Amino acid sequence: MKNSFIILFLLSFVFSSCKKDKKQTTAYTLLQPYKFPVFENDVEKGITEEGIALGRRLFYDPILSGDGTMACATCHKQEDGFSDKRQFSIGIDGSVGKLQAMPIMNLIWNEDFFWNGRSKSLENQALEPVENPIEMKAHWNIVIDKIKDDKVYQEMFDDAFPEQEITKELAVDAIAQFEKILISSNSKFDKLLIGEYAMTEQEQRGRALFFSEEADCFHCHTGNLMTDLSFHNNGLDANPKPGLETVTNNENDKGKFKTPSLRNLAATAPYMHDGRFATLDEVLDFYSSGVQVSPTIDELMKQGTNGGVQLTEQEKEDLKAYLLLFNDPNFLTNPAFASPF
Amino acid sequence: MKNFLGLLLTTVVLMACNKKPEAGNFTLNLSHEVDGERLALDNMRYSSPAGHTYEITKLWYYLSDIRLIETDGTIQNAAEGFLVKAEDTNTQSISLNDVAAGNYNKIQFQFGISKANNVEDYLVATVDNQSMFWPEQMEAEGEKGDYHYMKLEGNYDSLKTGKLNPYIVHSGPTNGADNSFIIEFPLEEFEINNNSAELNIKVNLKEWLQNPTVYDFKDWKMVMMNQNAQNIYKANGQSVFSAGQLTISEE
Repeated sequence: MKNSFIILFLLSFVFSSCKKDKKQTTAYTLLQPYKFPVFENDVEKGITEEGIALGRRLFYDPILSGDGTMACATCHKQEDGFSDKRQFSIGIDGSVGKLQAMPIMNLIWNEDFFWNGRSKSLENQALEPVENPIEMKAHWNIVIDKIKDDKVYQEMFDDAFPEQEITKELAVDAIAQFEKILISSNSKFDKLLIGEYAMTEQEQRGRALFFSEEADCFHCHTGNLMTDLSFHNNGLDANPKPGLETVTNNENDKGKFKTPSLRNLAATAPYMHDGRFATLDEVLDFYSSGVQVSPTIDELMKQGTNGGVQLTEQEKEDLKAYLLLFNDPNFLTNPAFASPF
Repeated sequence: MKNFLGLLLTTVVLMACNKKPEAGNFTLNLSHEVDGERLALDNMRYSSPAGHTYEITKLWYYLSDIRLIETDGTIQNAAEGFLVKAEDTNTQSISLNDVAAGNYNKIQFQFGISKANNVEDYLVATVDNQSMFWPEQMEAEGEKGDYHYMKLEGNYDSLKTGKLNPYIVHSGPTNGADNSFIIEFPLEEFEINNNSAELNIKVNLKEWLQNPTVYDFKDWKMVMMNQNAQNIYKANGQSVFSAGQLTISEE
């Protein structure tokens, strides 16, 4: 009896030792950059080192596309502020997109995604391009099957999401985790705020214009994100495209598109939702004298009836000098954001 | 022994009678109206006193430093700024928790943010608060940027031309001036003691445009640096808010 008890005890000890402990993930600490908005609604929670590593690999991997030739990074290149130098991105079968690929940076503070705000989370946003027939033209179930057959991904998914089945929801969760850490906060403008940069006279003149009621850039390109994260019709067309109206079905939203950030402006050409302006000079010419009035033009485009804010050539140069302070070379070359392949 | 029991009973009775008053909650419920109608954004349906048809597309403003005043004059402060957004009903109820027990008969609050409080980083750096930024160059020399008090925006239809025109009513500390102002309402005396009180406040937006000065959109295009425009907002704003029903409910 005594021996049986001891054997049983030893056996149960051996079995419990063999039982695999559930893997632990490593929480990623996201630091809030100086003078940036606080993180709201716990958006910074749940990001892990393992999730970022997986999301980064998926972001750069053409496995997500129908023919294995196109990754997220194909149209969102780091050196271009994770946007596309081409006016419209080209899909796997040569289809041409209709809008400019939006830059990916500082998205953790965003609540609406795409130019018309049709997606309400980064995770949801990441679902769409994979199946979009003019983009990656794949099917998530086929993509997930391919991922499940890949030994590296089997391990990375298990590291990021221990003991969970690989699904498209987990895939976009990981991609969103990677995108959330793509924070650009190390420009000359940021250095200016902490006293490590002094503006030239021209940049100071540009800044005065930027924050003036006359040029009035600051109401839409506001705060340290350089965007109010809202939607405006900035007077590009007399008969604008629907924009936000597509989502809200409200005719008052016709022609409203999401305000892009001005960060990394030099890298994110071409400009506007349809990439119609190849250079910053063209953008400044537009705001100066190319504005078209339409029924939903934003109230802040108060000089719209005059065609724009009527900048002199010197003022345009000054403003451009200030706008270029928002470039962040570290962000564009940070190896942690680069391809893992 | 008999004496001891008597003492014990007396103590228990006295303790029960001396129950300490407890803090409660106070809520301001704001309702935005034009011409007695609930505000409908993006709707070209209102008539301005200056003779224009107009719409309101955006209304964001701060109320701050809400003070409940006890009958003995004691002021209970909530030294905070609250951003009210016409499109977001969650921002239109301002709740003050743990209001000290007492008898109250007055409420004051600041429209906008007072000079003392309107300083860089006074408010939590949310995206919304950052988008209410008032630039440093529109402040007094040596002062840093802070916050708009209000952004009221829309369009008006000039009756003569039929053309749509934008208007912008942005109030704030023009050149460092304190253009915020205090609103005060006497209230029927009420007690806070482990209960909740709610006060309805009507916000009649038309008053911004008419009382005492008729405000004609066409006369005011750029207003942030125009103290004359700010003076009109400050004067007209006095009659925008009016106190309605006060409701007390026990916890």
